[in-house]
Amino acid sequence: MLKIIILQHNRRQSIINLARSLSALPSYASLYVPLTDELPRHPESLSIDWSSQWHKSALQATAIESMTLPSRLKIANRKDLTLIEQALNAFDSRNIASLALGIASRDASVEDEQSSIMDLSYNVNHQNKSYFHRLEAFRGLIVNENKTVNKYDVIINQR
Amino acid sequence: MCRAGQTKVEKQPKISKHPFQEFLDEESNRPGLDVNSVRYWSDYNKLYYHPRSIVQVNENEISGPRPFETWQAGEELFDRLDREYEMYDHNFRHFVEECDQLQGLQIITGVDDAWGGFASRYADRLRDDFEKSSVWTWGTENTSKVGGG
Repeated sequence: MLKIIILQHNRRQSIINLARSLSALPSYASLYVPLTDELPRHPESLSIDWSSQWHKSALQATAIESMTLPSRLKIANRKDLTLIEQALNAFDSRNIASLALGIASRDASVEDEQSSIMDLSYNVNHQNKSYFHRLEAFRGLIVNENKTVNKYDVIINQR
Repeated sequence: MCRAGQTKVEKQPKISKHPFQEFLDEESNRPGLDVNSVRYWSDYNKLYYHPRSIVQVNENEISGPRPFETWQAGEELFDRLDREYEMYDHNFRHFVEECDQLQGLQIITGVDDAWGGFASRYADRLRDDFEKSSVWTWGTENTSKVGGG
Protein backbone atom coordinates (compact mmCIF):
# COMPACT_ATOMS: atom_id res chain seq x y z
CA MET A 1 0.00 0.00 0.00
CA LEU A 2 2.77 2.35 0.91
CA LYS A 3 4.44 1.89 -2.46
CA ILE A 4 1.28 2.90 -4.28
CA ILE A 5 0.95 6.00 -2.16
CA ILE A 6 4.52 6.94 -2.91
CA LEU A 7 3.98 6.44 -6.63
CA GLN A 8 0.87 8.59 -6.54
CA HIS A 9 2.71 11.25 -4.60
CA ASN A 10 5.57 11.21 -7.08
CA ARG A 11 3.17 11.38 -9.96
CA ARG A 12 1.32 14.27 -8.42
CA GLN A 13 4.58 16.08 -7.76
CA SER A 14 5.59 15.55 -11.39
CA ILE A 15 2.32 17.01 -12.59
CA ILE A 16 2.67 20.01 -10.32
CA ASN A 17 6.23 20.54 -11.53
CA LEU A 18 5.09 20.24 -15.11
CA ALA A 19 2.28 22.74 -14.62
CA ARG A 20 4.63 25.27 -13.07
CA SER A 21 7.19 24.81 -15.83
CA LEU A 22 4.55 25.20 -18.51
CA SER A 23 3.35 28.42 -17.00
CA ALA A 24 6.84 29.85 -16.55
CA LEU A 25 9.13 28.67 -19.32
CA PRO A 26 7.11 29.65 -22.40
CA SER A 27 6.89 33.16 -21.04
CA TYR A 28 10.67 33.47 -20.87
CA ALA A 29 11.41 31.73 -24.14
CA SER A 30 10.62 32.76 -27.68
CA LEU A 31 9.75 29.17 -28.50
CA TYR A 32 8.90 26.26 -26.25
CA VAL A 33 8.82 22.66 -27.42
CA PRO A 34 7.70 19.87 -25.12
CA LEU A 35 9.35 16.48 -25.49
CA THR A 36 7.59 13.56 -23.97
CA ASP A 37 9.19 10.23 -23.38
CA GLU A 38 6.12 8.13 -24.00
CA LEU A 39 6.44 5.64 -26.76
CA PRO A 40 5.05 7.19 -29.93
CA ARG A 41 3.57 5.28 -32.81
CA HIS A 42 6.64 4.33 -34.71
CA PRO A 43 7.54 2.41 -37.83
CA GLU A 44 8.57 -1.19 -37.36
CA SER A 45 11.94 -0.53 -38.90
CA LEU A 46 12.88 1.46 -35.84
CA SER A 47 14.22 -0.63 -33.01
CA ILE A 48 14.37 1.27 -29.77
CA ASP A 49 14.42 0.02 -26.23
CA TRP A 50 11.92 2.35 -24.68
CA SER A 51 12.99 1.49 -21.17
CA SER A 52 16.43 2.92 -21.83
CA GLN A 53 17.04 6.62 -21.16
CA TRP A 54 19.98 6.34 -23.50
CA HIS A 55 17.89 5.21 -26.47
CA LYS A 56 15.10 7.67 -25.80
CA SER A 57 17.42 10.61 -25.47
CA ALA A 58 19.23 9.57 -28.65
CA LEU A 59 15.97 9.77 -30.56
CA GLN A 60 15.13 13.14 -29.07
CA ALA A 61 18.62 14.41 -29.82
CA THR A 62 18.33 13.27 -33.43
CA ALA A 63 15.09 15.18 -33.80
CA ILE A 64 16.38 18.32 -32.13
CA GLU A 65 19.58 18.34 -34.14
CA SER A 66 17.79 17.79 -37.42
CA MET A 67 15.20 20.43 -36.74
CA THR A 68 17.84 23.03 -35.89
CA LEU A 69 20.20 22.07 -38.69
CA PRO A 70 19.02 24.86 -41.01
CA SER A 71 20.29 27.37 -38.48
CA ARG A 72 23.79 25.92 -38.59
CA LEU A 73 24.32 26.10 -42.33
CA LYS A 74 26.40 28.65 -44.14
CA ILE A 75 24.82 32.01 -44.61
CA ALA A 76 23.56 31.39 -48.12
CA ASN A 77 21.43 28.44 -47.05
CA ARG A 78 20.84 29.34 -43.47
CA LYS A 79 17.44 29.63 -41.91
CA ASP A 80 17.94 31.50 -38.66
CA LEU A 81 16.34 30.37 -35.45
CA THR A 82 14.43 33.62 -35.52
CA LEU A 83 13.12 32.95 -38.98
CA ILE A 84 11.87 29.50 -38.09
CA GLU A 85 10.26 30.93 -35.01
CA GLN A 86 8.44 33.60 -36.92
CA ALA A 87 7.06 31.04 -39.29
CA LEU A 88 5.85 28.88 -36.43
CA ASN A 89 4.41 31.57 -34.21
CA ALA A 90 1.32 32.39 -36.16
CA PHE A 91 0.32 34.99 -33.59
CA ASP A 92 2.49 36.72 -31.06
CA SER A 93 1.15 35.05 -28.00
CA ARG A 94 1.36 31.50 -29.24
CA ASN A 95 4.88 30.19 -28.85
CA ILE A 96 4.51 26.52 -28.10
CA ALA A 97 5.39 24.16 -30.91
CA SER A 98 5.43 20.42 -31.23
CA LEU A 99 8.17 18.27 -32.69
CA ALA A 100 7.77 15.26 -34.90
CA LEU A 101 10.39 13.03 -36.44
CA GLY A 102 10.13 10.93 -39.54
CA ILE A 103 12.58 8.24 -40.40
CA ALA A 104 12.47 6.93 -43.91
CA SER A 105 13.99 3.62 -44.74
CA ARG A 106 16.20 3.39 -47.75
CA ASP A 107 13.61 2.06 -50.13
CA ALA A 108 10.77 4.21 -48.96
CA SER A 109 9.02 6.58 -51.28
CA VAL A 110 7.95 10.05 -50.29
CA GLU A 111 4.43 8.95 -49.50
CA ASP A 112 5.70 6.30 -47.14
CA GLU A 113 7.55 8.93 -45.20
CA GLN A 114 4.32 10.51 -44.13
CA SER A 115 3.22 7.40 -42.35
CA SER A 116 6.50 6.98 -40.55
CA ILE A 117 6.29 10.29 -38.71
CA MET A 118 6.54 9.98 -34.94
CA ASP A 119 5.21 12.63 -32.61
CA LEU A 120 7.76 13.45 -29.99
CA SER A 121 5.88 16.19 -28.17
CA TYR A 122 2.47 14.81 -27.51
CA ASN A 123 0.21 12.53 -29.42
CA VAL A 124 -0.65 15.30 -31.79
CA ASN A 125 -2.56 14.75 -34.93
CA HIS A 126 0.07 15.93 -37.33
CA GLN A 127 -2.31 15.74 -40.23
CA ASN A 128 -3.86 18.93 -38.98
CA LYS A 129 -2.80 21.38 -41.61
CA SER A 130 -5.28 24.15 -41.96
CA TYR A 131 -4.87 26.33 -38.92
CA PHE A 132 -1.28 25.80 -37.92
CA HIS A 133 1.95 26.31 -39.73
CA ARG A 134 4.19 23.38 -40.15
CA LEU A 135 7.85 23.48 -41.02
CA GLU A 136 9.77 20.54 -42.25
CA ALA A 137 13.50 20.16 -42.18
CA PHE A 138 14.81 17.28 -44.20
CA ARG A 139 18.15 15.88 -43.43
CA GLY A 140 19.59 12.89 -45.05
CA LEU A 141 21.48 11.17 -47.72
CA ILE A 142 19.62 10.69 -50.91
CA VAL A 143 20.21 7.39 -52.57
CA ASN A 144 19.47 7.29 -56.26
CA GLU A 145 18.66 4.33 -58.47
CA ASN A 146 22.27 3.34 -58.83
CA LYS A 147 22.35 3.01 -55.06
CA THR A 148 25.05 5.62 -54.71
CA VAL A 149 24.88 8.35 -52.15
CA ASN A 150 23.90 11.65 -53.65
CA LYS A 151 24.03 14.53 -51.32
CA TYR A 152 23.35 15.84 -47.87
CA ASP A 153 20.21 17.78 -48.27
CA VAL A 154 18.20 20.24 -46.26
CA ILE A 155 14.93 21.80 -47.25
CA ILE A 156 12.44 23.81 -45.31
CA ASN A 157 8.93 23.75 -46.62
CA GLN A 158 6.23 25.83 -45.15
CA ARG A 159 2.65 24.82 -45.46
CA MET B 1 40.66 21.80 20.57
CA CYS B 2 43.26 19.54 19.10
CA ARG B 3 43.04 15.82 18.95
CA ALA B 4 45.89 13.44 18.57
CA GLY B 5 45.57 10.66 16.09
CA GLN B 6 45.52 10.09 12.40
CA THR B 7 43.07 11.71 10.05
CA LYS B 8 40.98 9.25 8.20
CA VAL B 9 39.86 10.26 4.75
CA GLU B 10 36.42 9.13 3.63
CA LYS B 11 35.92 9.06 -0.06
CA GLN B 12 32.97 8.08 -2.14
CA PRO B 13 33.94 5.35 -4.54
CA LYS B 14 34.86 6.82 -7.90
CA ILE B 15 32.55 6.11 -10.76
CA SER B 16 34.18 3.38 -12.77
CA LYS B 17 35.09 3.96 -16.38
CA HIS B 18 32.75 2.29 -18.78
CA PRO B 19 34.41 -0.41 -20.91
CA PHE B 20 33.36 1.43 -24.05
CA GLN B 21 35.50 4.40 -23.03
CA GLU B 22 38.41 2.08 -22.46
CA PHE B 23 37.99 0.62 -25.93
CA LEU B 24 38.03 4.13 -27.34
CA ASP B 25 41.21 4.91 -25.44
CA GLU B 26 42.85 1.78 -26.76
CA GLU B 27 41.51 2.65 -30.18
CA SER B 28 40.30 -0.88 -30.52
CA ASN B 29 37.21 -1.65 -32.47
CA ARG B 30 35.13 -3.63 -30.07
CA PRO B 31 31.51 -2.83 -29.39
CA GLY B 32 30.95 -2.07 -25.77
CA LEU B 33 27.68 -0.29 -25.49
CA ASP B 34 24.42 -1.90 -24.68
CA VAL B 35 21.27 -0.85 -22.97
CA ASN B 36 22.05 -2.58 -19.72
CA SER B 37 25.55 -1.33 -19.20
CA VAL B 38 25.09 2.33 -19.99
CA ARG B 39 24.68 4.31 -16.78
CA TYR B 40 25.57 7.96 -17.48
CA TRP B 41 26.09 10.17 -20.49
CA SER B 42 29.81 10.03 -19.89
CA ASP B 43 29.71 6.33 -20.72
CA TYR B 44 28.88 6.80 -24.37
CA ASN B 45 30.00 10.35 -24.91
CA LYS B 46 33.56 11.27 -25.74
CA LEU B 47 33.35 14.90 -26.68
CA TYR B 48 36.02 17.21 -25.43
CA TYR B 49 34.27 19.96 -23.62
CA HIS B 50 35.71 23.32 -22.77
CA PRO B 51 36.64 23.02 -19.10
CA ARG B 52 34.45 25.94 -18.16
CA SER B 53 31.43 24.63 -19.95
CA ILE B 54 30.68 22.09 -17.28
CA VAL B 55 29.40 23.56 -14.07
CA GLN B 56 29.58 21.23 -11.16
CA VAL B 57 26.97 21.47 -8.47
CA ASN B 58 27.85 19.58 -5.36
CA GLU B 59 25.58 17.16 -3.62
CA ASN B 60 25.46 19.20 -0.45
CA GLU B 61 24.45 22.31 -2.32
CA ILE B 62 21.48 20.53 -3.79
CA SER B 63 19.92 18.64 -0.95
CA GLY B 64 18.37 20.67 1.79
CA PRO B 65 15.95 19.22 4.30
CA ARG B 66 13.67 18.11 1.48
CA PRO B 67 14.68 15.84 -1.38
CA PHE B 68 15.42 17.56 -4.65
CA GLU B 69 12.10 16.82 -6.30
CA THR B 70 9.93 19.87 -6.18
CA TRP B 71 9.90 22.76 -8.60
CA GLN B 72 10.43 25.03 -5.68
CA ALA B 73 13.59 23.20 -4.67
CA GLY B 74 14.95 23.94 -8.14
CA GLU B 75 14.11 27.61 -7.77
CA GLU B 76 15.76 27.73 -4.40
CA LEU B 77 18.89 26.07 -5.73
CA PHE B 78 19.23 28.73 -8.38
CA ASP B 79 18.68 31.49 -5.87
CA ARG B 80 21.21 29.98 -3.49
CA LEU B 81 23.88 29.61 -6.13
CA ASP B 82 23.13 33.00 -7.63
CA ARG B 83 23.60 34.62 -4.27
CA GLU B 84 27.07 33.13 -3.90
CA TYR B 85 28.22 34.20 -7.33
CA GLU B 86 26.29 35.57 -10.26
CA MET B 87 25.48 32.44 -12.26
CA TYR B 88 25.17 34.20 -15.57
CA ASP B 89 28.24 36.39 -15.18
CA HIS B 90 30.42 33.68 -13.81
CA ASN B 91 29.54 30.72 -15.96
CA PHE B 92 27.97 31.87 -19.10
CA ARG B 93 28.77 35.39 -20.15
CA HIS B 94 32.28 34.83 -21.45
CA PHE B 95 31.02 32.25 -23.93
CA VAL B 96 28.43 34.67 -25.19
CA GLU B 97 30.99 37.42 -25.61
CA GLU B 98 33.12 35.21 -27.81
CA CYS B 99 30.25 34.80 -30.25
CA ASP B 100 29.99 36.76 -33.42
CA GLN B 101 26.41 37.47 -34.43
CA LEU B 102 24.77 35.25 -31.89
CA GLN B 103 21.63 33.73 -33.34
CA GLY B 104 20.06 32.74 -30.08
CA LEU B 105 20.10 30.27 -27.24
CA GLN B 106 18.67 26.86 -26.78
CA ILE B 107 17.85 25.45 -23.37
CA ILE B 108 17.24 21.75 -22.90
CA THR B 109 15.80 20.96 -19.51
CA GLY B 110 13.64 18.50 -17.67
CA VAL B 111 10.35 20.15 -16.83
CA ASP B 112 8.60 17.72 -14.52
CA ASP B 113 11.36 17.68 -11.94
CA ALA B 114 13.18 20.25 -9.82
CA TRP B 115 15.31 21.31 -12.76
CA GLY B 116 12.22 22.85 -14.33
CA GLY B 117 12.23 25.35 -11.51
CA PHE B 118 15.95 25.89 -11.84
CA ALA B 119 15.73 26.44 -15.57
CA SER B 120 12.82 28.83 -15.20
CA ARG B 121 14.78 31.07 -12.86
CA TYR B 122 17.78 30.89 -15.15
CA ALA B 123 15.66 31.68 -18.20
CA ASP B 124 14.18 34.63 -16.34
CA ARG B 125 17.68 35.90 -15.66
CA LEU B 126 18.70 35.33 -19.29
CA ARG B 127 15.78 37.31 -20.58
CA ASP B 128 17.38 40.47 -19.21
CA ASP B 129 20.27 40.02 -21.59
CA PHE B 130 18.55 38.24 -24.43
CA GLU B 131 15.28 39.99 -24.72
CA LYS B 132 15.66 40.59 -28.40
CA SER B 133 17.22 37.27 -29.34
CA SER B 134 15.70 33.89 -29.92
CA VAL B 135 15.62 31.69 -26.87
CA TRP B 136 14.31 28.22 -27.55
CA THR B 137 13.41 25.89 -24.74
CA TRP B 138 13.06 22.13 -25.15
CA GLY B 139 11.27 20.70 -22.15
CA THR B 140 11.64 16.97 -21.54
CA GLU B 141 9.03 15.10 -19.58
CA ASN B 142 10.05 11.92 -17.88
CA THR B 143 6.89 9.94 -17.34
CA SER B 144 8.53 6.57 -16.86
CA LYS B 145 10.32 7.67 -13.72
CA VAL B 146 7.19 7.71 -11.63
CA GLY B 147 5.84 4.46 -12.85
CA GLY B 148 2.84 4.14 -15.07
CA GLY B 149 -0.62 5.64 -15.18
